[in-house]
Amino acid sequence: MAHSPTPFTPLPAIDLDRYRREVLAAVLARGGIDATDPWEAFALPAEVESEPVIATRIDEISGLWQKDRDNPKYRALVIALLKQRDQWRSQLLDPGARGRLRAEVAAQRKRRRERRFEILDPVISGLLERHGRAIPSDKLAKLREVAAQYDLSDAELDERITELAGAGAGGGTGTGPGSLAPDTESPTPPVVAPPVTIDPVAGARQVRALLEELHQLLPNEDAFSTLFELLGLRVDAPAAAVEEAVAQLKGRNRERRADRSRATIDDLLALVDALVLRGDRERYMDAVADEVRDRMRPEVAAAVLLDDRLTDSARRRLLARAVDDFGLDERRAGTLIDELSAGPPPEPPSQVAVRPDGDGALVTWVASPTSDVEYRIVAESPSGTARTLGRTTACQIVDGLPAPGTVYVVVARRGGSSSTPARSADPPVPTPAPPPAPASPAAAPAPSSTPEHPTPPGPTPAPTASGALVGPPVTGVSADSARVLTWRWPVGVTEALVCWRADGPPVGPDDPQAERKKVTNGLYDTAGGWRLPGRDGPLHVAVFSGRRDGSTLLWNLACPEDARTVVAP
Amino acid sequence: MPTVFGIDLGTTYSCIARVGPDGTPEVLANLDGETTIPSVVRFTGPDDYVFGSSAWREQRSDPQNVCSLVKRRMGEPEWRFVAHGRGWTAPQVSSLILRSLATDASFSAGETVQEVVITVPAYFGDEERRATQRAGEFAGLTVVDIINEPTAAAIAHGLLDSDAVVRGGSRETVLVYDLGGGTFDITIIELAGGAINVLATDGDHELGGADWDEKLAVELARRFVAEHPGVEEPFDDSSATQAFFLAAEAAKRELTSAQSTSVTVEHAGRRTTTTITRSDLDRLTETLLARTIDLTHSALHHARTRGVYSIDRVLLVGGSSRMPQVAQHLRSEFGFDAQLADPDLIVAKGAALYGQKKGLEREVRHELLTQRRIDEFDQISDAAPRDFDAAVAVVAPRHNMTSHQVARLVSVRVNNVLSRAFGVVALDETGERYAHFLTHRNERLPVKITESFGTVIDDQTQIRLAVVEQGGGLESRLLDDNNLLAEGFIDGIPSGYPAGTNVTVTLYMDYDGILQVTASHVGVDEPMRLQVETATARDDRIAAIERAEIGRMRRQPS
Repeated sequence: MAHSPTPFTPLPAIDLDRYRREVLAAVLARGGIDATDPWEAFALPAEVESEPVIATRIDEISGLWQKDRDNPKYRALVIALLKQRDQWRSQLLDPGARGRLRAEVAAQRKRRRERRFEILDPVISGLLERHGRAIPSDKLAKLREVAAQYDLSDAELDERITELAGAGAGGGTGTGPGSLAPDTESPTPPVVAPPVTIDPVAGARQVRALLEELHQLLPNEDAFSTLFELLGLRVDAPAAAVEEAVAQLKGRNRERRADRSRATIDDLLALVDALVLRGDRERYMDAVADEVRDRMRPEVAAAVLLDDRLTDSARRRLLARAVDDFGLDERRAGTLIDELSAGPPPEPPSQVAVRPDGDGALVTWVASPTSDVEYRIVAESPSGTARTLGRTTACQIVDGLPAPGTVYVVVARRGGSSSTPARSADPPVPTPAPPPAPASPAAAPAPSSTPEHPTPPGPTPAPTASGALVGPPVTGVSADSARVLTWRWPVGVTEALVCWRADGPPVGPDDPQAERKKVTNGLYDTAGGWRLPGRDGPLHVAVFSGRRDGSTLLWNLACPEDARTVVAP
Repeated sequence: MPTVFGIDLGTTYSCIARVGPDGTPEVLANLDGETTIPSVVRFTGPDDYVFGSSAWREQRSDPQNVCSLVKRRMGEPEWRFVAHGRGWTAPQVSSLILRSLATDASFSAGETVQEVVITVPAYFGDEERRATQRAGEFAGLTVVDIINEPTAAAIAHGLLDSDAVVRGGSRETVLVYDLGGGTFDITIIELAGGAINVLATDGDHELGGADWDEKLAVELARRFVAEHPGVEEPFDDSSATQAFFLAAEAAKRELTSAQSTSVTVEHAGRRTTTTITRSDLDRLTETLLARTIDLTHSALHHARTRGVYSIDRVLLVGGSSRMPQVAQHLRSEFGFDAQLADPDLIVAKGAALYGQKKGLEREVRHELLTQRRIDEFDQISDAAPRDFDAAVAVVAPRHNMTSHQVARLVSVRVNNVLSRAFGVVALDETGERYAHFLTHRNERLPVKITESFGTVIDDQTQIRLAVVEQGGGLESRLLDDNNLLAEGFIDGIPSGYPAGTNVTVTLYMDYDGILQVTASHVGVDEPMRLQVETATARDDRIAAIERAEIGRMRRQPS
């Protein structure tokens, strides 16, 4: 005889947008499927014990997951959840298995909460050991700063200090075992939708997003931090080894069924080609190091907090973490840890401004109040690509390839630590100046008075050799075996003219027998020098320094011996 | 005899065509005059839906009930689109698309659309093809054949009239680069000896114009978040997600002719207006294009193993192949001078021409059978030339065609290749289960392979036979990389046979793509026969329910 199904009242339906905001966003911010459990994932109240209600809710939430399979932000997570669904379903629908799972989940949530204090606990314990409960106020303030970077509120920190001070030897942490209240752990800031370009900086971000997606899709396989880790190679592996590893991985990937993980790996392999094989792998790894810097900053700050310096053992631990967990090579890892532990960062420069300068754009700023700093200047295009213009101790640099809408970012650095960035006024839009017209001077307004390109208020960076029409000559010109020229730039000089002849030394910047090329300090810094075009015989080279007078570029006719060299074939 | 219509059931757009009275294929417009119709269904209630442009327009206002890109879910039995408390399978949603296309076309054609040829990506596996067939049946249509999109494109491009095909002239090779809304196919076709022979095929159905849109949508979201820090991310909101994707698609289209375009996106009361240049788009999508180039290399490599070292023609098919960078890359990478071949409509036109050929074949065969010139097990090609000509002469006037035209269409052969390898699950020396392939991708149909295996233990009374299909682009021994198509048992083997007793497995696939597997053990009289159709036959009851469910659906006016 057929039994009619027992009637039941399903849980109120949940809307996809609400579910995304309340569940998926939080799970993703915590690191994905490993950081959730079936009660949270199915938005299932802890007290529900009715199997028909549970089954209906599972079907409902599965439907929401399917709808997000084309959502770029949540796709990898929902695919992983869909793979996990059947196992969770069978556990939840069996009362015995459900009870066991409930206990496991309660313990997991407690462990997850504990992990948030993983970095801070040794520091708090150390401070308590030295100072008892009377932690000095300056140390406490710094501790709060670091805690904030882990999204821990002052109240949570205070609670933890009390716990570790010994009062709560039982170690109760709020959510008791067996409790399945919604996980209120505050998520880290949401992951910004991954940008995608082949520029090394944006490329590195794209790689990281894809690697994170891959880890969501294949949670049981190793997680990778860089393209080199994906390939199982060292950063300095020869190109042939990279090519071989790509071919192997590509072959294996072609064996996989055509799903999202295969597409993700294919995208990553295409990025190996663009960033490592065709591109400059050093710039890619520099971009990785820049990302790692931000991620490791709180951890290093915590390590420095206790002794006001980095102990050898802490340095070794952090180095190992930068290498093992973040995929940096030892050199970059060492530099990064030293930078981060080097003390307070310098003050940023201010009033970054741009004005047309011949075919280029002259970027100026007001110096950082911190002394002995060097500035690093990056040009950011509207599409998000970033181009390093160079490093200088002067307060100006020329961008020889300005694009409309470019924003210039200037960072002061000292002793390995960097200021917060200062950005050019919004929007500076330096467009190449029109070719000089042979009309009256009135037809060519002075760039500084052009309303679209305002000169920043406040002090204008003054040439150091005040009053001199031309800058001091460059010094120390030499060439390496690859015919790359290097020289020292005098302060305030941002452009140089390289002239070369085969039959004898160039006689001046306008020597008709010489070939010539204008080099900006930005171009020079980016390339680490300037490479002479290929020639067979020896070449006589002279480098003339230049300085801007308004829109006119003046070359220093003097070219002392130190600014000349002969380059061997 | 009824007209056989051709349907291009696309990931983002669909299209239906027939061969008109003048013998040329014509695409049929819907009631709004559209020839390419968005493959989008909006569920407006438990039993109601709207289709096409009106559903597409509502993606933003009712995102949670609008289903798009369903073709990417064909062959996933677990997938459901849930709306208004009901869940719909991919064949069910596709059947609503097909039924709507057919209904609208019936009005403009002046005849009922009943018999159809539906196209699928060449790279589709067995499960996806069957799901497509089922979608057609759910829609109440008679699916005369399922053919590959690149083959249809080649047919429509006049290759049926090619010298190489008609007169057996010199060999000609054609590469079809088909970048559609959701899938990419690369196919190399040889025209020779009165036949269209597919030589090599490769592709990826996670790679299409929708992926270009996604890269652009992600970039728009990045710029939006950069301009409005602290505002909720667009992809957390269904309506904004759709809006960003729609803006991305529009920008991509603009950039096929313009060098840059201005895009405005809004979300949470904020607005970002930004410029996207063609070089931005190129940089963002370089990895996608690189993947199509890789697959093209792979197909060319296969073609070389078949003795083809040069390509005479390159056809660009699929709306996304309009992007100028496609032709540029094919030129710079391979030196190809690619022709844009009516990329939106050509597949449906080719399907219609193929449908015409199938209809004519059926009539000629019917004549030959009626005149008792062949018997029911014979092919048309078994008929004597004189009998064939006589049958053609009867059929041709019914279609206002000459006998020559009918004879040519009926005689041309379209020889396909396997798009995937097929095999069985076997045990290796260590006792591990692995995929053992008997046939391989790009082998010419029909194919028949017999191989011997041994029993594992003494007195083995039962043998399990599991048929697998290659899941990825290359064969893999790992079972997880492959699709299980069917399984069965040889039972009742008498005892007394030692381990290693011979078990013969034969795998056979005919032109129709239906795979049959037989296995025999010396101790059992009747060989076990596994027809892979039976893999889905066990779902017949479910299919009947699905068909009944979809039968109740009412289409709402646009």
